[in-house]
Amino acid sequence: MSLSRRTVLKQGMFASALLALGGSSFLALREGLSLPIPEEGLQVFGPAEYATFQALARRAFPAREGFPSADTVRVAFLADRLLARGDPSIAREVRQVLGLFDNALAGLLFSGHVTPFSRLPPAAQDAVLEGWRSSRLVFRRTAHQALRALAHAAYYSHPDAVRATGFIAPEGFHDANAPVWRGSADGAFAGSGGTSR
Amino acid sequence: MMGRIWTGDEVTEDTTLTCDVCVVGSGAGGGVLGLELAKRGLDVVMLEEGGYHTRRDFDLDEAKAYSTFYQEGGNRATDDLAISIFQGRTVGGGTTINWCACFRTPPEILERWRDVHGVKGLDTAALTPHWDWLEERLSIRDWPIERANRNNRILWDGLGALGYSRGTVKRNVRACAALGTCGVGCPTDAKQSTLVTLIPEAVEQGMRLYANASVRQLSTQGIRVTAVHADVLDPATSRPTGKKLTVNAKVTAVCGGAINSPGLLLRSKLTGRGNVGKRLFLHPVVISQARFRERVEAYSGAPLTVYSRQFIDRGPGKLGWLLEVPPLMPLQSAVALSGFGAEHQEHMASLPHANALLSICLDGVHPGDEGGTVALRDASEYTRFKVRYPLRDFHWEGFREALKVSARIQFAAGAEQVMSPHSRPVVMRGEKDIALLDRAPYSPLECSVVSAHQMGGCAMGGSPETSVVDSTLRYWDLDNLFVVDGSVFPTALGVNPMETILGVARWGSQHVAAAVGSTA
Repeated sequence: MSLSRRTVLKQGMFASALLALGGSSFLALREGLSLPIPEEGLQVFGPAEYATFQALARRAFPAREGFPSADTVRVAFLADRLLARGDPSIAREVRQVLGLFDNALAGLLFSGHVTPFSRLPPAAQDAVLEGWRSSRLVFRRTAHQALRALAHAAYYSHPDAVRATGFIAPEGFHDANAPVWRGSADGAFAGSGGTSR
Repeated sequence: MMGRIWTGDEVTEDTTLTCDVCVVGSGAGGGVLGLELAKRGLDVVMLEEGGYHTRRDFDLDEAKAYSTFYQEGGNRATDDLAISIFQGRTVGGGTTINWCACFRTPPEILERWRDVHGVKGLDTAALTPHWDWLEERLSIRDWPIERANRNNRILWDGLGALGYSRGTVKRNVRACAALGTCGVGCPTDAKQSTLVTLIPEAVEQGMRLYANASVRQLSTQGIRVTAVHADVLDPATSRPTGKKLTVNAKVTAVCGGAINSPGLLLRSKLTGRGNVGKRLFLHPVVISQARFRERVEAYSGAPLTVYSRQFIDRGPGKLGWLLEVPPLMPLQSAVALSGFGAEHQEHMASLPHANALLSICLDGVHPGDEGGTVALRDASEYTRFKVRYPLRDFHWEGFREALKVSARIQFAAGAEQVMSPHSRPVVMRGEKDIALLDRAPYSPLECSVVSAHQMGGCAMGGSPETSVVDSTLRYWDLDNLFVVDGSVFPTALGVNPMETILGVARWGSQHVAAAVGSTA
């Protein structure tokens, strides 16, 4: 299915209008889940965004034997740190999307409920996520992809999650004290390329 | 002249340098060019936006690797996120973190560049001596099928069972321990990237390399580039330190790759008569994931050693593809493979039994296939560009057929289950289920597409009206500006691009040197 330019434009305007609505209406002010802020503090997320993302992570990583839970891994905290390392514009966009995701007005428009995503029961949260994943509106699928990728990157950056997949990194090959060559003042280059000429 | 490598923390005040040639970027293009110019006795300054990371940093931690050694922390993508783009950002560029596959340019591609795009003097005969030299210098050798890991064996066996053509891949390695972790940097320096080969040699010849130097703009006067302006970045955060690096060079060569090179030209108001940023090709890839009863351990062993070009030419108007397998590291797999929630966890729990097949689609060679575009975003968005790549019915038809072929190959090799790259995967348990792929949705973000090969954006050609650089890699409207990287390709290749970039750069170095006045 290819979208006409006009359709994309309309969707873009619709998305922009919705993003602009964040926090500006009665429904938008309905409070979502509240979670304690990590001891280390947050660098990108506000408290509401942090809680919304952790709620999403709990659905992305439901309880499964051998796998650490989303709360054990602290997915939202790790996502906050990942975002802090990137271009600030990415963090800004993710925050906007999370605001919209938990926005009761958007919930009413897209799925007919006025309870913020983060306060819905698990089955309803799964339905909301499925609605964003399979939406006919490209911007909703884009938002789902952005949040999904961030959650997966954060979760599988944790050693326990990596271990759960069965992957074992090769050991004995990395030398954290290997010398760093910067020029001929350090002697001849010691890398394999430098010794073969 | 004493060569050296500096990092951003060592540049503690605004600095101005003069030299013969300023090379912007240190990947396959810049690495070769820097060495060839330094060997001619020219004074070369190389600027690299990424950090100087060596084997002491390659600790096989995926999360750190993607966020440190890749563009945009591993999050580069088209604007709508429909295509994820994996691209290096470190000294050595993509050669530091790629999977070591080396192919010479297919002759029919070079012929197309000549016949359709007006490129002169760049053919197989012209490139052969450069490839010969590079293959010797970078130890580019066949990786025989006897050394293939199980992941590659699956492709080999499946191709053989169906009677399809197949071959083994040449790799640029020496004393390779086949760890399988090439994508996060080689901890043993076995990978013969420009990081451990050509760049150190160039530095020994006198080249000065500044890592953590983000080139923001080229100043021009009349028909000449007069200065290269870079922001110095903090190696720890990649944020600007406030210090400036300015290079006054006789000649400037932009080697930032197919997204950053057009981006730099556009920031410098060099639009190439509207051609800069056009004809971006991504080799769009769809991934077919399979599960086998036995352990595959696709994260272990040399990652990419078998290929097939059986389907590269499907006739006029049909998207063709190259078949290869990727390594399946946990974090990379989690982000790239499909599914969500319990379904996705099920895939991850069976990672040791997983195989994946890449269909790397050849774009830019069919009438009307103009690829994508690179444009500037808001000035405050430091590393990001507006990358667009419209996926049309032409692409989706090719992706669908590629997934059907992949599934057949995987079943022929013994897969017990094959899954499509849809956001809700099509799950197939035998040949009879392959028809399910015909009924799946094919649209952006409903069917996942990725790219690890970026080409074009500053196309080479026979006319300034349709291309950015001429057949000597010189920017059409400036005397002393060259582009030497994969961005000059007028089309994609249909093979992994590293060796083509290396070869074109070495071939092109004669023209850059001549522009300085060197005839050596």
